[in-house]
Amino acid sequence: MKKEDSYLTIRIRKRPWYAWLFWIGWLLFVLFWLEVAVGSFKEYEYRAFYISLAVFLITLIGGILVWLWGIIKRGRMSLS
Amino acid sequence: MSNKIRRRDFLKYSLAGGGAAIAGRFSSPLDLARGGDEKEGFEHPWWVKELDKPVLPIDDTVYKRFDPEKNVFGSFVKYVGIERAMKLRKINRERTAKYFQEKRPGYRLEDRALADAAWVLSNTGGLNRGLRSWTRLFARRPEERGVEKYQGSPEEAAQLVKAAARFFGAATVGITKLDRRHIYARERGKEIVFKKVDEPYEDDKKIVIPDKCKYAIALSVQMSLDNLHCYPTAISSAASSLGYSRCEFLVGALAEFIRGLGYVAIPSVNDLGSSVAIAVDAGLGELGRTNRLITPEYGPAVRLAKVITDLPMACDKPISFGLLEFCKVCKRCAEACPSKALSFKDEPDFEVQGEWNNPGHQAWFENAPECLAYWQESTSGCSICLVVCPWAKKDKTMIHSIVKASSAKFSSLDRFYTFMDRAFGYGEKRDPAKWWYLDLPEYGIDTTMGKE
Repeated sequence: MKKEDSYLTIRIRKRPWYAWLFWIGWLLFVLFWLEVAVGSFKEYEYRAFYISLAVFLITLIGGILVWLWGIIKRGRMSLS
Repeated sequence: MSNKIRRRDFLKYSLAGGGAAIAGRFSSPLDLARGGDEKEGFEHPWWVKELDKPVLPIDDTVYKRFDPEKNVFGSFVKYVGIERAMKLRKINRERTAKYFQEKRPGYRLEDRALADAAWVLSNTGGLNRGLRSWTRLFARRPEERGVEKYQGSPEEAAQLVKAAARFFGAATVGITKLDRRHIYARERGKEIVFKKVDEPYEDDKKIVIPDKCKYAIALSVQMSLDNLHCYPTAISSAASSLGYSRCEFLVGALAEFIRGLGYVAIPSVNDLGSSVAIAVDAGLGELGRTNRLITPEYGPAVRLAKVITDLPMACDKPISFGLLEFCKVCKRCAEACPSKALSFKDEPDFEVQGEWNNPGHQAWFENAPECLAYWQESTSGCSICLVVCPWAKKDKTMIHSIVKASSAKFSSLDRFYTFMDRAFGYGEKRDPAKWWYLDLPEYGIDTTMGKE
């Protein structure tokens, strides 16, 4: 077995500082609304629960789409 | 009260991205590590300010001891007229019967039985009766134990009393020098007087409080928001009744504790004097648009009680958490009030609505007879104003603490918060039939709320 095969390698793409800031902000925002959704459910505040769940899901899906779009864009650029 | 922040608050605000700014409130890394000072359990949240005087002023030339005969319960018929009072009674009787027949949720036999049962302890007491006895019930005095009466410092005494009060069920406790103007002028037709005597007593003509009783302990107990949300039904009314019953036990037990230390203690719930005025002086909260106490921790969802004593204690100060500015723009309670009994004025003033208000202090005065008339029509009280208040929250999500803290610090956001409170559906009525199937904690309240 080759030596490199014994290790898992995590590769983190280099990004400008403002991109990191954006993703940290996105993560905090998503976690915040998840916490609000869970808390509202515990409080039996169902409208607050549905609104915060919707904000959470939209933000989560939006972030994932932006991430996927970045991957696709980079893939196209490397092909051309 | 220090400005130190508590562990739970720190975690919340750290998560919200404000950790660095808030960490600056800790005086040292050691302080951060232990999460504040030793007395953190008796402190309000860090965004509550202490003041030398209550936010809403008293006009000393006008403010006097109130005659509770004038309050709305004592003089309802006089205020609304005999004809309307009879009509309301008829409506009450007819609707009660109709709701029973329809088996309307919130007004069924089981709902009514719950509300009545929750009064059980409160109904055993009264001024100088039952657990509210002005003399000892079972407490052994220090001399019976062969020791001197308690001799700790006022600070130590305050700490003991607060710890005991919490143990007996108080949500918050504050101590103030007794302003005698908050004590009613009379009760049960007898004049209440202060005299140089050792023990409080009452005879056929007067009720006597010893001159030496210079301190008042203000107490609040939480009411179940899950019950109050089922307004205006017997389920919501049960929250009030249980609150009163818990107050009955609380003041009775605390008075016995103080007597056990060798001092005089006069327990009181709604009798004897204005619990709201004493609570404002003792820093439990501020006077809101409802002309009732609103606390930073539980909003208006509390019942109040007090114990008057001669035990020297360190006093607390009145507080402000931006409620005055908030109430000016919010008006949710006034809009939701079905009897339109609450004031819509932008600013509080000294203008009373009627004899049921005690003049001489600035407030948003309420039309109490209209409020009580609605109680008759609904057949089971109301409590809508308590629930729609944006300060009444169960605090199971950090967003409430963030909103409360930022409202206390930046009043310019109050209008936005009021709008969002509505948009999120807070304060909406819930189905009383479903209350029976909720998995609620003891007394229907979270006793750790505001204290972790």
